[in-house]
Amino acid sequence: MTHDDVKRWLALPVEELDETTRERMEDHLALCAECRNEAAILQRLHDEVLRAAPAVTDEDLIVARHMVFRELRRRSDSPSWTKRMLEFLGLGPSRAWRPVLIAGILAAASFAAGSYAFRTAPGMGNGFHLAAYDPSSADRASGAIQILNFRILNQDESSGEIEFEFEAVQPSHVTGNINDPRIQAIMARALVSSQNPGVRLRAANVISGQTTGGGVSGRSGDLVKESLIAALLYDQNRGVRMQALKALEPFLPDSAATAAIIQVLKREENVAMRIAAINSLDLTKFDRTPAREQVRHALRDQSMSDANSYIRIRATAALQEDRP
Amino acid sequence: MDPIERSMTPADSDLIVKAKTGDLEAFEQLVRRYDRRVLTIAASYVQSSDDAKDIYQEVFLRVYRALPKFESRSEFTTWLYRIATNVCLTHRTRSRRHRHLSFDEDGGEDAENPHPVVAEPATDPDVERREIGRRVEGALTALSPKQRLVFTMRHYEGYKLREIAEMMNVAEGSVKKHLFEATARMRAQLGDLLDEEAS
Repeated sequence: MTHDDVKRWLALPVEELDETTRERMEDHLALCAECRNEAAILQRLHDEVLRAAPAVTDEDLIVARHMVFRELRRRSDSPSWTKRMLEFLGLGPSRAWRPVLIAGILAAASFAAGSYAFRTAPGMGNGFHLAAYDPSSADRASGAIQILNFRILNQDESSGEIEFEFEAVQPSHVTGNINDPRIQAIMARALVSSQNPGVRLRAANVISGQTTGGGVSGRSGDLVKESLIAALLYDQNRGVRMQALKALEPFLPDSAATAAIIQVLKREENVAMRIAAINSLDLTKFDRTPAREQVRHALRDQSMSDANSYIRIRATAALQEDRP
Repeated sequence: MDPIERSMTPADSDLIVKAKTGDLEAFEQLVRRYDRRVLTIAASYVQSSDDAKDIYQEVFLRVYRALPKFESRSEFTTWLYRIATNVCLTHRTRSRRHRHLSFDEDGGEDAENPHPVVAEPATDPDVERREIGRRVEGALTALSPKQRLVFTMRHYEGYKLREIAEMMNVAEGSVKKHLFEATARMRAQLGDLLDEEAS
């Protein structure tokens, strides 16, 4: 048995070596200081690697689930227009028809959308105008529909059958007033569904300006509020979360908005976000409301247990400022 | 789980049958049953919670899409973890992503954040610990995808070689080879650190 043999075996889990090999290795280690040292080094390697292991928290799991479930519901709620068209034509299950039909539909849709783009956009009343986007762009005007996230799922080269998916997007141009509930609904949707963090940030900025200015109410207000809460708790971009927090402030002392900001105070890793949460939870906003005690309790907890000393001081100050 | 609870808990096979027909609630139950392990494998592999969530999402979207073709010839979990390891191996780490959202690590560089940086000074052991963590992460990143996957599943999760082979759909001999090569490379990359501790 050589040193190299033993060093090779040391890389493997000892419990998975067969009995003979294990005994031979142990005999060798008893007599060989060099290999004993190597065994100790590999044990330290294991210990250091383990210490550096990333922790998966329950919160990570909740956020990950939320991402998947939201995406699945989105897909389930809004089947692609190609699928709906296929089902409408009664051709859904026939895979052989799909490529031909999709190509046909795309060509027809492109032609129709191109023609539409060259028309003057009709107004929809109340200053809200929706039209195919930018007629001056030759590419868009001629095709209009964009194919995004194209992905081949299966391809059988022998039969020529292919299965793929994509998102067909028709660019739209909207002019309107930010107080229009339809505009607010689009902004709210962009905030939670856009893949581009820059777009989400701009949507949050717009909503933030709008909510600070006049406030929102009714169904569109609920939609905006829920979108802001989702962005505040789940968006991966800190800038978006921060902007969502600012935009939520005018909704306080609403109970859902308050609970979401308290969650930020308790769970957000980022110190600036926690400071912003404390600033938002100004107790004067909660006079004679059921959420007041909840906010005081959260501030008290943070004043005693936050890992960051500045947060502890800020939370204490917020409580003290509240005293008459 | 007590017998009553067990009898009320639907079997995987029942959930799979329902999920195949588009029952999202059944699929969500399946996800909740096994997703912690998927996220853990992913997090160990990419060393980043954001990238791990990307992998998690890709895994379960693929599983949902492919479920109608799943014929129960193998265990659902074997099939699931095989998809998870495949997604890990083909995953491209997000660019310009930081490992965690720790404020004192990245706050100073963040132009989006208008608020002042207030971080407590790190003590020496903290600095040392983070430095070792960075070295380990760097050494893991230098491994080939298969070496890294085998090494992290073995060292972080303690999987047996046979289990790893099953999840990766390769022979146990290949797993041993990857583990040996990964160990040798990690040993070489971190040699000074390990020798330093030994002295």
